[in-house]
Amino acid sequence: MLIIPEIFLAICAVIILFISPFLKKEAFLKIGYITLIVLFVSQFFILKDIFYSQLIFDGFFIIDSFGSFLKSLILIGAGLIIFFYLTVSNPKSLKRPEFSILFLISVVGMLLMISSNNLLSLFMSMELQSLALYILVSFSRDDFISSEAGVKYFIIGSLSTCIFLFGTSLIYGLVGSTSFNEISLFMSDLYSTPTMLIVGLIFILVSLSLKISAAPFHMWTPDVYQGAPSIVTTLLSTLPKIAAFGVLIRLLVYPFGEIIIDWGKILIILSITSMLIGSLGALRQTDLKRLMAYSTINHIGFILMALIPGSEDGITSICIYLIFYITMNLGMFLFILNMQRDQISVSSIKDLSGLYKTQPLMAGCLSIILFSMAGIPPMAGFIGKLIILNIIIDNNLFFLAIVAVLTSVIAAFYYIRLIKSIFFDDPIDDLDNISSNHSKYMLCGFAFFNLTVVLYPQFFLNLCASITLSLFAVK
Amino acid sequence: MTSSNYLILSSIIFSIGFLGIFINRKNIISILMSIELMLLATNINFIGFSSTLNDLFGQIFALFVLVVAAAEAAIGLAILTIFFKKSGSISIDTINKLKG
Repeated sequence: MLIIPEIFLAICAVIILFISPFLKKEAFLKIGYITLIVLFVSQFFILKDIFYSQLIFDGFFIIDSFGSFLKSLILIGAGLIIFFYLTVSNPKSLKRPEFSILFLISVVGMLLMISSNNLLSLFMSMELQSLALYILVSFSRDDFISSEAGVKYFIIGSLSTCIFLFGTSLIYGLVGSTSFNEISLFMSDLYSTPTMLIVGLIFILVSLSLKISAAPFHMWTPDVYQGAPSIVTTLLSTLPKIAAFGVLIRLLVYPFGEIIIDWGKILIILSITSMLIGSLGALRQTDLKRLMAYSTINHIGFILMALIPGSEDGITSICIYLIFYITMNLGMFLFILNMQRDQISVSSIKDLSGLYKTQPLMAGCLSIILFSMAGIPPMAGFIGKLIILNIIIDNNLFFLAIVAVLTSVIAAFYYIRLIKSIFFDDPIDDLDNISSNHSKYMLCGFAFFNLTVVLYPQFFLNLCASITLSLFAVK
Repeated sequence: MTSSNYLILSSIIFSIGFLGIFINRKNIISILMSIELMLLATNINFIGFSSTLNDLFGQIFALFVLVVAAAEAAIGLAILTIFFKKSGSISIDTINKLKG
C-alpha cells in the first residue's frame, strides 16, 4: 500500500493520545520524542516509494514523486520544529503532551492535502489540518493575545472553508463530478469556458489564497503570527504553506490547465499585491514576529509569480524556492524562539540591538540568514530569486519582473535595518545568552546551508526538475 | 425546479452569511452562526445539483460537509470559551489587542 505513511501517522497519533495520560513526569518530553521517532519512520516510508506513481482509493488520492517530494519536505520541517520544541525553553502553558499530538494530526492533514486527487478528499484533509491548527494557535491558554489570535484564525479559516465549498459546489453542478480526472476530461472538450466554471475556480483560488496568506487576503497573518506562541508561528509560516502550494500547483496545472489564461490573470494580481504589501507593510513594524509575517507575504508573492507561466521550469523553481524558504524561516524563528531576557520571551526589534557585542557567533549566523532572505548574492535566497526571475523574463512578463525587483529592494531595506541594529546599535539591555547548545549548532547549520548552497545549486535544480517531471507525465 | 432556482436560493443565503460576518458589530456568536449559514447554503447547492444531475455524489458530499460543520462549531465554541475566560466578554470590540 502506498498511503502507509499517512495511515501510520494517524494511527500513531491516536495511540500516543491514549498513552499520554499514563505518563506521569515530564509527559510532554516523552511524547515529543515519540513523535520525533514516528516522523522519522514515516519519512522512511515515503522515501521508499518516492518513484512510484499511482491512483489509489478509487482515484481519491494520487501518489507521485512530486507529492512524495513535498511530503518529505514537510516531514523534515515537522521533525525540525518538534526538535526545536524539545530543546528550547518553553513557557509552562506549552508543556503539555497535547501539543505534539495536535501537531502530528495537522501534519497528517497536510500530507493528505498534497496527495488529494478529488475536491472531496482535498476538502476533508484541509479541514483535518486547519482544525488542529486552530487549537494550536490558541494553545497558551493563560495568554490573552494567544486566545485572541485563535479567534481570529478560526473565523478566517472557517470563512475560507465556506468559500472553498461554494466554489466546489459550482464546479460539481457544472461537471457532475469533483474528481480531478473528470474535471480535466470535461475541460478538454470545451469550445468556450462556461462562466460558472470560472466563478467556481475564483472561489477556490480565494480560499487557497487565504490559506497561503497572499495579499489581498493577508489581513489575518500579522495578527495571528504575533499572537500565537512562537513555536506555533514557526509551524504556521512553513509547513501549511508548502501543503497549500502543493494543492495549488496540482489543481491549476492538472484539471484547470486548459484555462491558464484565466487563472494567470488572477495570479498576476495576487502576486503583485502580495509583493507590494509584503514589502511596504513591514517598514513600520516594531515586533519581529509581525515583521516575519510581512516577510512571508512578500515571499509568497514571489513564489506565486513562478506559477503564472504554468510551465515545468516554473514549478521546478517553486520547489527550489520552497526548500530555501523553509530553511531561512526555520533559522530565523529558531532565533526568535531563543530570544529571552531574564527568562521571559521577548520579540521586539529593539531587543536585537547590540547583539554582536554579547553573542558574536549568533549575530553572524542571524545576519547570514537575514541576508539570504533579502536576496543578497552568494546566499540561498538569491539563487531562489534568480531562478524565478529568469523564468519570468523568459516568458516575457517584464512588468512583473520589474515589480519583483523593486519590491525586493524595498524588502532588503528592512532586513538590512535589522542587521544594522545587530552590529552598530548600542545594547540597551542584554539578551540572555542562548542556553541550549542544540539551538546554537542548529542555527549555525542553517546559516551554513544558506551560505554554501551557491557551491552546488545544480544538485537542487536536477532534483526538483526530476520531481516535477512526474507532475506533467500524468497529462 | 431547475438547477438555477437552487443556485439563486443558495447564493442569497450564502450572501446573508457572508455579510453577517462583516456587517455584524455585536458579538462573536453571531459570526459562528453566519459561518454555519454559509456552510448550509453550500449544502443546498450540493443537494440541488445532485437531484438535477441524478448523481448521488452531491448528497454524500453534503453529509461530509455536515460532519465538518459540527466539528468546526465544537472547536470554535471551545476557542470562544477560552477567549471569554480571559476577556470577560464576547463582544467584537474586545478583539483589539493585536494590531499595528
